[in-house]
Amino acid sequence: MENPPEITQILQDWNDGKDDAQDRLLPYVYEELKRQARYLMSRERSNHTLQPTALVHEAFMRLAKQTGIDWQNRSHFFGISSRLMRQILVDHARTHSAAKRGSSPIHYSLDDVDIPVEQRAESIISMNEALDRLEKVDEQQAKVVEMRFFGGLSNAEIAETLDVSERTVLRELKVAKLWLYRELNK
Amino acid sequence: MADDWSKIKEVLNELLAIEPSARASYLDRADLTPNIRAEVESLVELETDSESMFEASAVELARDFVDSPGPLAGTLVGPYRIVSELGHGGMGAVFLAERADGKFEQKAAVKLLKRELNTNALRRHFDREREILASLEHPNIARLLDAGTTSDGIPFIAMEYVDGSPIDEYCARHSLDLNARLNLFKTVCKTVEFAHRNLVVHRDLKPSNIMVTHDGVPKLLDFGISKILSEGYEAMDAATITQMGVMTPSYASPEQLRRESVTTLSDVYSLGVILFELLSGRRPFEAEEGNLRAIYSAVLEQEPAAPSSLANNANRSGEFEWPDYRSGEAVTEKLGTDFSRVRRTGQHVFSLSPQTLKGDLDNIILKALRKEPERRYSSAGAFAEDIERHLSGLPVTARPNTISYRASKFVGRHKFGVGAGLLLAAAIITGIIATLWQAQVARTERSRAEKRFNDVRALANSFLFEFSPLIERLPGSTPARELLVKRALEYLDGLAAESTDDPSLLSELATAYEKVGDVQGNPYRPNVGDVAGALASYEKSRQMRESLMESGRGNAKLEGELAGLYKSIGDVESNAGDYAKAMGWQMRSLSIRERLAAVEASREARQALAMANRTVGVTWFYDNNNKKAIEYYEKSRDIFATLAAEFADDDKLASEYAYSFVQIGEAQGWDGELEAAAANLQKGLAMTEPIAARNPNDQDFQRDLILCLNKRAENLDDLKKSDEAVALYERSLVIAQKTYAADPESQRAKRDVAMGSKKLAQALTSANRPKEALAKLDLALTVFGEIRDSDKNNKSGIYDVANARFAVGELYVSLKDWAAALTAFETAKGEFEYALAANPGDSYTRRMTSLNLQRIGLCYSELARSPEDLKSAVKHLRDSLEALTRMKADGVLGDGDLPLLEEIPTLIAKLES
Repeated sequence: MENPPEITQILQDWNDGKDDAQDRLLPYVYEELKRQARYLMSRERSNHTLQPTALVHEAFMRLAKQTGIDWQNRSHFFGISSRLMRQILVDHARTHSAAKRGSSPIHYSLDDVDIPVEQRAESIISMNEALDRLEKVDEQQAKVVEMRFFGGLSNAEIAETLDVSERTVLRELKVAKLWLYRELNK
Repeated sequence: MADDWSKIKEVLNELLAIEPSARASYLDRADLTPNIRAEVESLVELETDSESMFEASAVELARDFVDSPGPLAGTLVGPYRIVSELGHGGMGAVFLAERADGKFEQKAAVKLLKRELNTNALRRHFDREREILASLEHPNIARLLDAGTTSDGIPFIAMEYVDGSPIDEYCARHSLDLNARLNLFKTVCKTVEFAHRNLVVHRDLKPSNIMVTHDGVPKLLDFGISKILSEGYEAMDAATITQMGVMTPSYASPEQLRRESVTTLSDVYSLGVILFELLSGRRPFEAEEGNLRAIYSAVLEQEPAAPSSLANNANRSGEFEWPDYRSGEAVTEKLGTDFSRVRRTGQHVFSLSPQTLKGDLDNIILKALRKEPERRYSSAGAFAEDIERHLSGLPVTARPNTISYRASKFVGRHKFGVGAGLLLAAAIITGIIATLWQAQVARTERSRAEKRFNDVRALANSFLFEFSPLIERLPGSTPARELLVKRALEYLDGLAAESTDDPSLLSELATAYEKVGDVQGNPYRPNVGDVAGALASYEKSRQMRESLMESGRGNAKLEGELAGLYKSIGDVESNAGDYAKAMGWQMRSLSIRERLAAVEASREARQALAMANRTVGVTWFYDNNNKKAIEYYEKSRDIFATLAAEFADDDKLASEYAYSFVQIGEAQGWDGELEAAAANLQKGLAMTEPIAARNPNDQDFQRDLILCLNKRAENLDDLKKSDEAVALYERSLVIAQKTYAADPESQRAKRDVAMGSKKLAQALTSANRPKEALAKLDLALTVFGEIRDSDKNNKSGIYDVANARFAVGELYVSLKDWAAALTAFETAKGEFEYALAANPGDSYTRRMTSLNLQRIGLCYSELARSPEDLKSAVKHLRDSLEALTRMKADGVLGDGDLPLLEEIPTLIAKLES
């Protein structure tokens, strides 16, 4: 991705902690992440498990390098990455599930080992929706789940990002599981 | 609303932290509004159901959107070269491959598994199952050839390649008539029966796992694979298991869908579904478009229709209609092994006239499909026999289901949780055994009785080998395990009394008693802590095996088993603190291993010999005789050295070899030879680094590296090279945290993080960085505490907490904050006493308890706020001296601690003057 002049300013603002910088930054980072994801998809032999953190990390390092900003605020970085991964994955899931639905219907039977891709796409989408609802009830809890499920962050990383103890993260996750399980099985 | 939620959350957090049984009374005391209480109750009851949530991240679920195809033709997978792809499915892709070294003219079907299947668990479980699966030599079973990981760390399984088509397709394509189908199916049943007698349950029988070659020979694929793959996933729900590709809902028995114990009778159920389909063209329960929930509720709750009633409308024309495959499936079909077939529900149709199926065949199939395992055929063989009777025009044993039975049996089924389900299953099996037993005793029909007797054996074995591992992993399952032991012993004793002149039975019984002994008290497995019981069961096993040896039936296999048994007895004795007895058994085990390796210097025999030497070394090491330990460690090292040279590409052997140096170094360190220890530890570390680097995703190898780093760092710390030690500990902790992040459920990974933090803290202390050290110790104490509280039976958890507390005290000592140090040591004192009570003979715990007393004395003497302080100092120092002196008398005091025996009296004298 080319490096429009404004992005340097946005990144600078973000690093300085300006409130709206993150929102202004998102579209750029999103583009970069998508580029990375495409790159991964197009690789001939990808034996790697796609690590969300690594992916975002790579994207950010590239951006940072381009703009010559010294990145120190790791926790900011984790926070934003999870939100982005969520957008990207939900986006992917939607395309996938919509594309299949639009084409001629294929009747999958349950045996032959493969759980249909659609079902997995659906579960990402329904988790996304359930999480939206959880956010209204408990913002921090929703954030923790977002980081864990979409961002693939460890409990320690989540704790660092939200500036809470790991114990708190564990407790939030436990309760979130109960709430979401009920929500998803309604 | 928001206020309600924070209250609800608060209560939930409290509830989740306490035992489920205590929750109701907690709620009663909590004084909640009815709304809040209802909400809390409805949420907390989902604890078990929701447990496995987030085990897979969204990225993992989205894998197929972003992952590209697997290896190309020509790629090497273990000893195999990929020829072409056969298909792919939930658990990975399958390739046609041939041996790369040209050693054998052998085609193989190689499954490359998805990475999320835990490589370690897979390897561990495969090692355990290897022998059993290798014994499954049968013309109708596709052999398992190999399993391992590719150079990229992807787990693979190689099987004999079968060129043919799935049984349903085969029947259809050749338009087999009813008798031909039944005969073919009978062969399948007998094959399954053979596997059951060898203690292997298939767990995932379905048409695509039953291939028929062009010559009409059925070959069963994937025996034992499902069990290997599901290792480590016991806690997952059925949907996840299905997704992993180790279970197929349409063919799975109700108990499998409920995630209860899987037995030989589960396979009987799946066979029933297959026969249903082969004869009627339909499955007993069919759901629309992969509706998982619909199929679950049908299998669990509905009675299947009679096959004859479905055969009618399966295909009006009465002609076979070819299944509808997606484009691209032709390749799969041509190459035979089918893993990606996607079939249209209701499209696969073949039909016999309903009249042919009515009566016997309906009854036979429905008997196999009973929801309650105990009401199905008692074995696949019995299923085959009834079909045979039908073919010969004899009356069959299967009777129509009766409504009253159905109704009574189904009430309250869903009340049972997993634990209760297991107990129920145990009771059922015991019930069957009793019935069969009576039949045997009556001896009305001699041959029949013998057959039944064999059923008892099969069931007893299935009981021990299938249930026990399942139960082991359930937290809080001790009562279930105790019941298992009790029941197992009851019928084992019964069998033993009945017919001990049969050598094969005797050998089976010996194995079974050993297994029971393991459950009772083998320290290397989850056990119920019954040391005396374990020793008694091992003793029975020993007598049987030794009498087999004496009766001239000795062979290498039996001797090997005996050596293994001696080792287990030694392990139990060692854990109970009787090192002299333990040593006797380990030496006996070693001498057998020596003899076996002398007779046949195979890799296995030599490896076993190396391990036996190591075990003797470890026993000496526990007994605090470091010189003796080193002597045997060196013997073990030398054997591993030649093995590692001979099998240079085997990382497992290389790491065992490397570990020998670490063990020697460790013992030298304990013996005070720090420089010699440094050389060995450094060598072991240098050898382990490249192995870990080659296997970045293998947790076992990563853990080896953690151990090496820690032991070398400990040594550097002893050598007063604290900064170097800190650097190594930091590396080790990073690896541990990475492993834990990858597998947060792993207690071992969790413990490694705690241990790593603690060790790093100690090194930071030596490096005079106390503030960082305190932070790390805090983390260590928290995590150790969590581990201790999560498993009350885990004795080392108690010790770990005490030890970490001791380290906190040491830290304050280094800061000369005597008051804070004293508080920590005083707390640790209670914790060490608790640890010592849990594990009285343990010399490490004795040592730490004594040292802790000495530290308390030291703190009081430094504080010296009052005459009382001085008195306390003298008292604790005396206690410490006494404990250390006792250790010396018992011969378990290390040379490094000897100076204390001088220093303490000097200090006491000084304080008293």
